[in-house]
Formats: sequence, C-alpha cells, structure tokens
Amino acid sequence: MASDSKKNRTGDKVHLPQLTTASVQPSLVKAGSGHDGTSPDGIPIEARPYVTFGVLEDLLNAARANSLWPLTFGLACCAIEMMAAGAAKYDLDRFGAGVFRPSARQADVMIFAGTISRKMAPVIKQLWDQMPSPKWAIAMGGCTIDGGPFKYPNQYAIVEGADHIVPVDVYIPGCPPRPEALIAGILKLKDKIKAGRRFKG
Amino acid sequence: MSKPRAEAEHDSDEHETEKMSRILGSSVAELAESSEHADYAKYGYHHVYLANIESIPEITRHFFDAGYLLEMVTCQDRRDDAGTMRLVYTFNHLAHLDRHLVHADVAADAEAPSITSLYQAADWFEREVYDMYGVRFSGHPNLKRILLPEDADFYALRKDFGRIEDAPQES
Amino acid sequence: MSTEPNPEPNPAMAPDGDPEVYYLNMGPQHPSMHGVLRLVLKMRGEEILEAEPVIGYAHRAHEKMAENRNYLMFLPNTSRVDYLSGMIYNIAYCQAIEKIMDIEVPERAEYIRIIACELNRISSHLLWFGTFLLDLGGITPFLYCFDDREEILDILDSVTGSRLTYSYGRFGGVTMDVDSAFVARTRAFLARMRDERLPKYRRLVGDNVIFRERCEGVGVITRDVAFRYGVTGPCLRSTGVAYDVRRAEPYSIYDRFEFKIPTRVEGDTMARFDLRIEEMEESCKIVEQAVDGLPEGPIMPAKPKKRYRPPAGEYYFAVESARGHFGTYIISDGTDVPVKLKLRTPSFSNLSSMPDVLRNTMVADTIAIVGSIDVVMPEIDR
Repeated sequence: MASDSKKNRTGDKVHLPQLTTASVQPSLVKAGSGHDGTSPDGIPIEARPYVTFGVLEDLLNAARANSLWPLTFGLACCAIEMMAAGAAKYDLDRFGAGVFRPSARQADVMIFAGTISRKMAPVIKQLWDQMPSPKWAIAMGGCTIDGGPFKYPNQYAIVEGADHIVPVDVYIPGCPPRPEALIAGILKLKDKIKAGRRFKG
Repeated sequence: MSKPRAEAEHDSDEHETEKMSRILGSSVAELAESSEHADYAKYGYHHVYLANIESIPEITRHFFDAGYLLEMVTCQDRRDDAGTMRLVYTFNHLAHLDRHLVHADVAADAEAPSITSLYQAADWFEREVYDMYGVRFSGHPNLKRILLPEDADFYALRKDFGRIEDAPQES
Repeated sequence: MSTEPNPEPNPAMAPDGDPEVYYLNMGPQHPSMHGVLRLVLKMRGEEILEAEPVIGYAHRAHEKMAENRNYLMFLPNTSRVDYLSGMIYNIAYCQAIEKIMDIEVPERAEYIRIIACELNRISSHLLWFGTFLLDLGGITPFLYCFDDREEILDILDSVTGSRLTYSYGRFGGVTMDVDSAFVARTRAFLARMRDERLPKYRRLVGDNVIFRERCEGVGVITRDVAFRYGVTGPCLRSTGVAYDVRRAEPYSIYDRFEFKIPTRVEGDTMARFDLRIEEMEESCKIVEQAVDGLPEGPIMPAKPKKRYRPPAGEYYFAVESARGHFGTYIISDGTDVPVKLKLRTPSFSNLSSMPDVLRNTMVADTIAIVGSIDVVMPEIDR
C-alpha cells in the first residue's frame, strides 16, 4: 500500500511502509509504458490484475477456501450424491474441492454425508480430532442437521444432528440434497472462510 | 392369530416319516391343516409349522440334507401374549420354490440351540436376534452384539423398549 | 434393564500364541470400504488368517420405526434401506402390501414399475462398476459410469422428483404418470447403453490386463460356501446357481418378459464383474420390452383405500434387488401398525460369507474381493 496509513479490520489507523515501484522487481515494470509506471497504490497498471497487495490473512483465507480438501466420509445415502457431485456432470474440482483425501490428517473439511449412528459417533469424534486446524464441517442432508427422516421420539439408534459432535459450519438441507445443493453449500463455506472468521479448530 | 398348527416332535416315528417325506418333496399332504393358511399366493410361503425348540436342530438337519437354503432367522416378542419369544426360521429351495416357515417358542430367559454348525448363515442371524431380542443361543461360536454398540444395555426390538409413548418429554 | 455384555472375543481371532500374528483394522472410515464397514484382519505378513467384519455403524432402526408407524408412513424408509436399489425396495414394499390386501394394480402402473425398477438396477450396477474400478485404482470408468447414471437419474427424476431415494410407489400403483418425453429419453438411453457404452466398458475394462490379473481367480466363492451362508444375487450366480427371484417366484409381470439369467461357474471376482455387465444388458432388454408394450390406462386403482389394515397373519414377499434376494416379512394383527416388519436383505448374508472367502488370501486382494460382493452397509445394518 503506497498510502502511509490504512485502517485495519477494527478501524484503527495503522502505519504501513511505503511500497513503490522502485522496490518492485524490474521484470514487473514494463519499459516505455508512457508514464513513470506508478499509480496511487504503487502497482504498475499492466501488472494490476496479477499483482495485488492485501492482508496476509485474506490471502491465506482465499487459498484455504479455494482448495478445500474434503475427507472421504460417506456414511449413507448422501454419500452417493457427494460422489455424484465429484463426478463429471457436477464437477466439484472446478471449485477446488475435488481432491478427496482418505486420511483425516490431510483433509480440511469433513462433509458429513449420511446418518450418524450412535455406534459411529465416537469414530467421528476421533476423525475430527485427527484433522489439523483450520478445519470446517459441512452437515449434508437432513440426518446431519437434526436426524432427518430418522428422527422420532425415543429413537435409540442415531445421533440427531452432527452438531452434537462437532461444530458445524454449513448445513445443507435435503434428503439427499442434489449435487447442486452440495456445491452451493461448499460455495457458502468458501464465503465464510473468505470473510475471515477466526477458528479455534 | 387363529391359524391351526401341527407340532413336530422328533421322538414320534410316524411324524418322522411324514416329515421326512414331506420335506423331500414327495406327494405327502402339506402340514398346514387348511390350505388357505399356506396359500403361497397370499402368504408367500407354502408350509408353516410350530416346532419344539429342542427339535430345531433336527428339523434343520432335514432341510440341510435336502438342499434348502436358510433364508432368514428372526424373532417375535410375544411375552405379552404368551410369555415367550417366538423364533422364526425360513427355508426355501432354490431349484423349486418351496418355502417353509418354522416357528419355535422359547422362554425369554432360556437358551435356544444354535444351528450355526449346519448353516453358517445363522451365525449373523442369531447374533442379530440376540442383539435385538436378548435370546441366547447355546453352541453359537461368537454370540455378541452385531448391530448395536457392544456396550449397549438394551434389546432394541423388544416391545417394552423404545416406544414413542415412553419418550422423555422435551423441556 | 441390564444385560451382561459378552466380553469374550471371537475365538477365531485369537492370536494362538503365534508371535508373528498381527491385527489390521480397516474402516469404518476407509477410502474403499463401501460405506461404514469395519474389517478386522488377523494377519501373518501379507496373508489373511482370519477376517471379522464388524457392522452396525449405519444402524438406523428401520424395523423399530416400522413398529412405530403405520404402513403408509413407512414408505419413505424403504428407499433408504438400500438407496442404490431404492426404487426396487420401494416398489417391493408396495407389492408386498398389495399382495396381502389383494389390491389390484393397473396394467400401465405395472409396466411403469418394471421400467423404473430395471432402470434402477442398471444404475445400481453402474455405480458398483464405477466404484469397484475406483477401488482398484482406475479413476476414468467412474466418470463414465456416473455419466450414464446421471442420465438414468434424470429420466427418473423427471417423473418422480427424486434422484436417489424415491417414494414413487403407492399401494396400488405409482404416483405420477410417464409421458412421451420419458419414453423417448429412455429409448435413447437404452440405445446408447447397448450400442456404445457397454461394449466400451467390456473392451476398456474387461480386457484390461491389469484388471484381469487382479480379478481372475481372486476371491472365489464356492457353491458350498454360498449355500451355507445364504448368499444370493450375482454372488450366487457367479458360482453356477441360476437363482433369480424374478424367475424362481415371479412377481409383478416379469413372467411376460424375455430375459436371460446370466451365470458363471468360476465364482471369482472376474465372474461377478462379467455377470453384472451381462445383467445390465438383460435389464436393458426388459426395459425395451416394457417400453414397447406400455399400455394406456390409469396408474392407480379407481378407489384407493384410505387406511391399510392387512388381515392378521404372517406374510413374506420376495423380490430380486440388485444385490440379491430381498424379502419383506410382515406380521400383522389387523391394525394399521405392523406387529413386526423384518427386512431380509441380501447384503447381510453376502457379507457374512467374508470370513470364509477372505481366509488365506492376500491383503492386497481384500479391496477387490469386498468390492466385488457389492454390499451396501445401510442395507446390512438397517
């Protein structure tokens, strides 16, 4: 930022160092561009779409949002729609989220696709604990929102909702939700990540 | 249920012959007294019996030797009506359609004989019956819970468990 | 009420004092365990000495729910038992009640049901095919299969409104009628499947040398094992037994259609693969015959009942799902809530044969074998 001061997220003025074209690598500056190459924020006009300056956190959030690596974690019927979302017609890879990782240690986001039975709940907790921060959870389908079609008084077999076990970021209703709905949910998660919510993991 | 039944007892010679020839597909008349009750078009099976629980291994042996597949072993909680659990075994032959439903009553805290030595399919079926109804099977190689968590302390499909009217009131 | 838990472990899995024995746990979260299956393997080196499937991670209390609601309210559950053959299960439940209560189904509804069920069978086998290859490391067929599957799902979606879990059947017929666009789309799909896609799958996958090496002679199910474990469906037909419920106890109008029952004798993974490709072809034939013979008429009885109270008694109704013999066992006491509803699902018995089939095989073949059985866990756990 060429300006001397800028407001940070909480509105306080912060003083930042001057960054001018003089300190930018020569390859970024086009020779003979007709003016001295500087602009109000110091970025040469030609480089503008490719070079930007921003808060590091925003950059990291953008990186995290655009390459979410889901954990392969299909529990029941919604898993099939998750697979369909990853297949060719509703390609998840164009959103950066197509690399499904089998190991929880390598995954960012856990998509709960299917009903959570009581027997499975400790396993889920263990997998969630294995995932490194920052991590997010998407509750896909009615069963993970509140038990869905299997919710009835005195149900003995299921956990009525994934938020009993983990903090859920995005809820996607449906039984099962269409692949487009899953994509919409992932996009919503991306918005949430880019907005920079602080995570405790 | 007012279905007439015939008891199969393995210590009666006459019944033994009748049973053997019936199972092996000869022209002996069906066991069920009234043909309406074993009407396949309506009920989906051809014969239905009520047997003593002790004779289940013997009866199973006849079906096994005759090449019948064990389709299903399940249970009905009849402790309110009759004080027993009713086990239901289904046998069917693959080459010629002939489905037999064998019932056997066992007291709720008694043990039933396991048929896993003949049909390994019964291994999981009997475990499920134990898991859901609490009926134990003697001679089962690995009787433990199969569907519910290992430390569950209830039997799920018993009639006095898990009824909607017993749900704790949400506050 | 307290019960004594049975703490003794499976005696077959005991280490027997051998210091080289170790245990490997696969699942319930595993990239290739279809659904939430847990396999505990007792191994020495690469060889599996004993395998114990642990199930119950998808137990959702279907049978208990059936006892807590009336027959009509149970309809949405039926699709979710085996969601890959969701249409077949849904229609099977309707057919069971219709048989019990002598409800007559109009001709057009019967034909529509056959079309929908056989399309569902093709889509189930397609998904199996794609995920099986995915497990073995071939990612491309997965995309092709899902492309074909999406076409089927679109066809069924246009008439039912759902892609995966249908409640299309009602007691006496189906909910929505099909139109000429449906018929045209189905015909186009069948032509593409038979002329282009299935030969392609045969050539690209079935003739692939790596695939053949991994599948031939691997995971042999013998006739004896299949008999003792109650195995049905393609797993049984791969051992040489030509048992198909559509032929053995014909239901609906299957006796009007010409189709073969493919069988193989080798009983290995390759046999099950070839079998399912052939079954897809036979299902295409059935759909074509049904579409050609689709009569005009209503799709529901003129006066559908409002309450369904089957007469007291015990009833059993069987259909052929994509995985084998699916039986519905209903005990009724004359009210509109069943006393007991037992779902005899094929994968339960098919998977129970795994200890025998996996014994003395290599762990690297486990994925291929378990994948070739084609199990759906919620159907096992209900």
